[in-house]
Amino acid sequence: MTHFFDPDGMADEHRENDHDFDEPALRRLLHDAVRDIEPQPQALNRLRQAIPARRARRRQAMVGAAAGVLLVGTAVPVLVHTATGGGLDTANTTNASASQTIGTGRGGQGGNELGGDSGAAAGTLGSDSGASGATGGGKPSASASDASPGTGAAPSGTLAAALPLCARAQLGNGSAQTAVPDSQGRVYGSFTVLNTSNISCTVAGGDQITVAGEGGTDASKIRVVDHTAGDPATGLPGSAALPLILAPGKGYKVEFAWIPAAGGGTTGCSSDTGGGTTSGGTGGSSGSGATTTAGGTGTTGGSTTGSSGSTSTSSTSQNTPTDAGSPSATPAGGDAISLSDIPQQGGPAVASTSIGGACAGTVYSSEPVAATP
Amino acid sequence: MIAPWPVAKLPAEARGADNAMATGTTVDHLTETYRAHYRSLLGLAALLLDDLASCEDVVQEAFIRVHSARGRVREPEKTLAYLRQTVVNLSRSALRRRILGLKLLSKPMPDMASAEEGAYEQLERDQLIRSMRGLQRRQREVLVLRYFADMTESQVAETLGISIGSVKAYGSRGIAALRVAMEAPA
Repeated sequence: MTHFFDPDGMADEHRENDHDFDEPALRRLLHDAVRDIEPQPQALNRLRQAIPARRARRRQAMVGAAAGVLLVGTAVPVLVHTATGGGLDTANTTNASASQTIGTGRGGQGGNELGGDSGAAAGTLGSDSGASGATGGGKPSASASDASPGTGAAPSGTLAAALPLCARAQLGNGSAQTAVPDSQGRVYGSFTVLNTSNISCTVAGGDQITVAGEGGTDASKIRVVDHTAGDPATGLPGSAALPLILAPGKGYKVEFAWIPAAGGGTTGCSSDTGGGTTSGGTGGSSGSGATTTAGGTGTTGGSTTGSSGSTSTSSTSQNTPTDAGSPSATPAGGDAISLSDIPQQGGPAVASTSIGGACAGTVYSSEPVAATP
Repeated sequence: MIAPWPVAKLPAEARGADNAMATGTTVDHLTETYRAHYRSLLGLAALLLDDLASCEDVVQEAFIRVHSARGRVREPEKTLAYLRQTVVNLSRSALRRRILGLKLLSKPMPDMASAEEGAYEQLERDQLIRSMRGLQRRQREVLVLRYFADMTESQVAETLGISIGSVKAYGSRGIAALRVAMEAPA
């Protein structure tokens, strides 16, 4: 093994130029090294399941994009954007075939599904034209060229993402912003995440907001749900047009709202409705009937005096002490929740913040929208 | 007291009826590609990656990406090139993420080690593999693509996004470095 590249004992000075001699040996060694690796037995089955699932996800993302394009074009109110389809159909069919050559399609609503797509993994063919790449809302455009040998007639009209989804490694520089609590203890805020890579990519939503309790707050009393029309988080934006395209350096924003549990005052746990008992002696009993431990009760009682406490953020701190009805507002004694944003692709949280004086309630989160710098 | 409580935010599932159709149309191509290339791509990933446990993840992800993009499936003759390209890219980002100390891939294959432990362990001990790991990333990539994947210099150049001249330079420097490493006492 030791003298593999020099079986004839050639002198050193000759070695530099005798690569022809070395190459077959290297080739054989490389193949030998991995010869025994076998796929896992269930590998093919996993692929059979994973591929249609991935397609469905892309398609879904593209329907969102189509809706968004239509929305921008016609300035239709946000809620109407389910009925897309027809208007785009003709253009899509033509564009989709044109783009098969190379994805240089101008941005906008045209297809360029292939070009953008090869950008995803190939990187050499990609066209990064910033297209939102909407193709028709799942309308088949049966063309003969779709059939490839051995695959049968592929249902076309497939909505492939024009740009790759942002990989976790492309996202960073996360920051969080929170506003001061209102008189009911509601706190609005947002996470902003930037595309730190030098290529464009898309975000299709699916960020996860995780919550952890701090101080005396028990995270199991905090729910995290998607914002929907009609819920108490009226300050959050409506449904967004996804996917968002993030040019390098651009970012998206996930807005959230902390709404204390109803009847629980500004923390969600007290029976007090924000008036701010100064003694804190009565605040101990929880109005919601939840059984709390002795320690928890104590801190809860304390925190009612502080009304909603203060909010602090990890980056842009707006640490204004708040005054939510109680003139003697003091920060709650360590009770808080910490919220973190984990991008769809998983991995570590990209930004986090904490909300003081939170005890029980709900965090509503909206779909990502483009961040305005 | 601090209990992270992840709540998945999945958008409403809207999987259409053509889902089943899509499965049906591509299984043949998938199976074919799988049989023809999966194993060699696993080898490719094993040679490119420091971290053997993620080889299968990388190859799986490459298959999923390439096969879920309809445009690619239309050109079966290019499938292997796409797959290789994706494996190279993913191996790089996996390496990069490993360097950053971050999580490798979001969904690791379960019990990777069980069945293939022997083969991967053997790989760990392989002197060539250990020597390859000592090379610069580019050198290693060029050697693996050139001599394991049997690509031409221009294919390697295209895959790595570098010039043919660079391919030659990395290749010869890589071989020289490898020779030194292999001759060093193990």
